[in-house]
Formats: sequence, C-alpha cells, structure tokens
Amino acid sequence: MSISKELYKKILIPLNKTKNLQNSINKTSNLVSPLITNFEKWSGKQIKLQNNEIEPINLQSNVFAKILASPVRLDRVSKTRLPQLLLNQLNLNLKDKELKLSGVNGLKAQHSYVLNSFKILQKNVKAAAGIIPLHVLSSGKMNQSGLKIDVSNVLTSFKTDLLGEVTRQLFELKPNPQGDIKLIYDKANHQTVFFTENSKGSIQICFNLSLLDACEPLHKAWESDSIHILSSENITLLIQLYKLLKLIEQN
Amino acid sequence: MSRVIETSKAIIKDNVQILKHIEKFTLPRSILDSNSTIEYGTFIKVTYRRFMRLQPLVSRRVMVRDTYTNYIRCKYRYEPVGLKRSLTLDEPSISQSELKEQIYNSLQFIVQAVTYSENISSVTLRRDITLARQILKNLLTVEYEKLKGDSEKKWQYKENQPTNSNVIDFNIEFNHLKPFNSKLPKDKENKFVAIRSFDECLIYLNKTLKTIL
Repeated sequence: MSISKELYKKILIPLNKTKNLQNSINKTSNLVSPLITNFEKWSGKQIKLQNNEIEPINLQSNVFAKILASPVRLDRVSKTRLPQLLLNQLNLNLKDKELKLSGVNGLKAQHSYVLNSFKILQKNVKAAAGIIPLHVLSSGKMNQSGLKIDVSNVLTSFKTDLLGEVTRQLFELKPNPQGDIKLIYDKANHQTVFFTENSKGSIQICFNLSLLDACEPLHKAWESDSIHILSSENITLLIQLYKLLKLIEQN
Repeated sequence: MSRVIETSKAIIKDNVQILKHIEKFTLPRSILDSNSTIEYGTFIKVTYRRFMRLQPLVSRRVMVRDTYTNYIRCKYRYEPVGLKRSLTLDEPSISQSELKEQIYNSLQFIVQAVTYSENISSVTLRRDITLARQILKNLLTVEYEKLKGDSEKKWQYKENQPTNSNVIDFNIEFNHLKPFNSKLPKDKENKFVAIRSFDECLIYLNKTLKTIL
C-alpha cells in the first residue's frame, strides 16, 4: 500500500514536534552547565555553614569542654576509646627501666592509657602485661629488658604524686572574688562536683575538696568557707583537680 | 593555586564547600519567648528536623552519619527526659520552657560545630568552633563505643529489647550512672566505669552551657 510522501513524514515526526525539538536545542545551548549550577550537590566535599550570627560561649575556659575535646585514645583496661584527658598516661621507659603513671599527658617515652579510677585499676590490673603499651608487648622488648614491675607500687606512687602536685598548686592559688569557680571543703557534702547559682543568676561550678585530706590545713587558712578562682587562669590545675577527684571517688 | 566555584547556594573551595543560606538549619531566638505562638509539639518537630538536616554536615563518613542520626533519634524518641541529668546531679525535674531552651542551645552548639571558621576574625570564636567540633566528634565516637557490643541490634532502638542490651544500659536506663553491684561481669563493669567518666563530664558541660547533649 502506497501512501503519499507528505503523510509518511507526518506519521514519523509530527511537524510541530520538530519545531519544539529545535526550540529546546536552542534553549539548552543558552543555559549554564549543570556542573556549575548544582555543583554543591555532588562535589563530595566536606560541607560547612557560613554563619555570621554565632555567639561566643567561651569553651576555651570551660574545664569540661577542654577535657571532652581532647583527642580520643584507647583505654587498655576497659578497651573503650575515650578522650585523652579522662584517662591516665602510662609511660614506659625501657632504658631507665621505669614504668610510671602520669597525671599530665606528654609525648615522653612509650605510652599507653588507662582508666581514671583507682578502685577499678586496683581490682583489675594484677600484672604489668595488662597495661603496658601493646606495641612494646608484641615486640618482645619487655622480656629482653628483664624489667620487673610491681603494679601496685606504680598505682600507689601515682596517687601520691598526683595528690602532692595538686595540693602544692592549690596552696599557691591566688583567690579572685570575681572568679567563676568555687572551691569548698565540706565533709558533709558527698558530691565532688556540683553547681550553684550566684547572685547574678549565672551558674557557678563548685569543686568539693573534702576527699583530699591534705587540703584540710588549706581550708583552715581560707578566710571564709570557700574561695573563688578564675577558670581562665587555672585551667591546667582545674583539669588535674577534676581528674584527681574522679580518681579517688569511691562509687 | 586554589580554585573557587560559586553557585547560587554554595561556595566550593578546594577541600570544603560552604553553604550560603543557613535559614534551614537555625532558628531565631525569639522562638523561646514566652509569648511565642509556636506550640511545644511544633517546637519539638521544628528542632528535630533541623538536627536531622545537619546530618550531612556532621561528617562525610557514613558510619559517623548513622551514629549521629541514631543519637538524635534516640534522644527524641526513647530517652526519658531529665533522667540522665538527675542521676548525676541532685536536681529536680526541669520545666518545659527550660527544656526548650536546652534544646535550642544544643541546636546552636551543633550549628557552631559545623560552621566554617577560617573567615571569622575573632580568635575566641574560632577556638570555640574548633572545640565544639572536637566535642561533637568525641561525643559521636563514644556513642559508637557504647553500642559496640550489640553487634546484631546495634542501631535499632526498639521498645521491647532484651534487658541486657547496651542500648538499654547506656541510652535509655543509664545503668552505668546508677550505683552498680559488684556482681557485674568484669568487662561490663570496666566499660560502665569508662562510659560513666565520659557521661558525667558531658552532664557537667551540659549544665554549664545549658544544653542537653
């Protein structure tokens, strides 16, 4: 069956469609490439906000923010990763044959980290193999060095050292009535860290030193029941104090 | 040489893309006013959506994003309000308006953590942003650590879970913050103490910043 040429053309590509096609080609050629228009959708880069309205919250002088923001490290005892400042650094010096727990984190010697709870450490750490750095343990250097370690000694001397260091610094403190941290010594209060509101209605952090027996003479030397200190000036001491209080807390 | 492509919504640099419009992620402080017309239920929905929208900004890793989503979901849907705080601090329960303020501040905190800091001139603000980002990162790491043992039901917060699950222990009943008996298995006790040391510090931070992280 033969059809006219014109009808044949109409069936294949309707005339009005060809016009549309031509139009759309013209339109797209004027558009910008989607590479540019929607690039943020698929660039795969880290996304951040441009925000000019944030208010400072002074995390720099907040002792808890400082502790929580420290880099995460693996705890050898509980096998959990925690911020470094919540743990204690264990330094192993094979040359001097010395194993020491330290309240201050540094990059000295070869180190691992253990929980900050005296009770748990005493209960769980019976042998040095449970806490010394894993890479030292696996390399066999430990056996070659012939180092013998009395773990309970390490623990007690750590506690005494940290206690001595913090108490010494506490005695040298200069109180500041405008300070945002309150130190008290109250045997009747069982909380080591708690919060009160001051006269201006802002929250004040209180550290209770009653767990530290060595601080009793300090308390007697104060003019009132408590002293105030500035957190921005004493941030390192406050971190150590917090760690010490949590170390000897018994629950 | 660094190249910058600017589109209508973002500025894309070598290693970072900065979103120009932040209305989708933030809320005006006036929402907390006592005469605000927004109801409590709406407020919860509005903030929940914003927290969820921030998910792609929290990290590029799927694992971290999932942890964040589940953390927010658990906070909103399953966690008993105020229980975590009352276990550590001797405090009465908080009012609805205080809770609203805490949720608002928490949203601001996360927004701050994902803000681009290099074009901000104030050093204090830049440090605040860095610290907030590190805290958020550590918080999500510990959230992941909490549920590490629950390999099978790891990310499913369901109401009828077995009672020994980590989800119940760490995120719903907070057994690690309660005084626990010595009959616990050794591993569990150690993990309880470790997570407790983090959560206690976080609660203290919440108290000082008036947040509910």
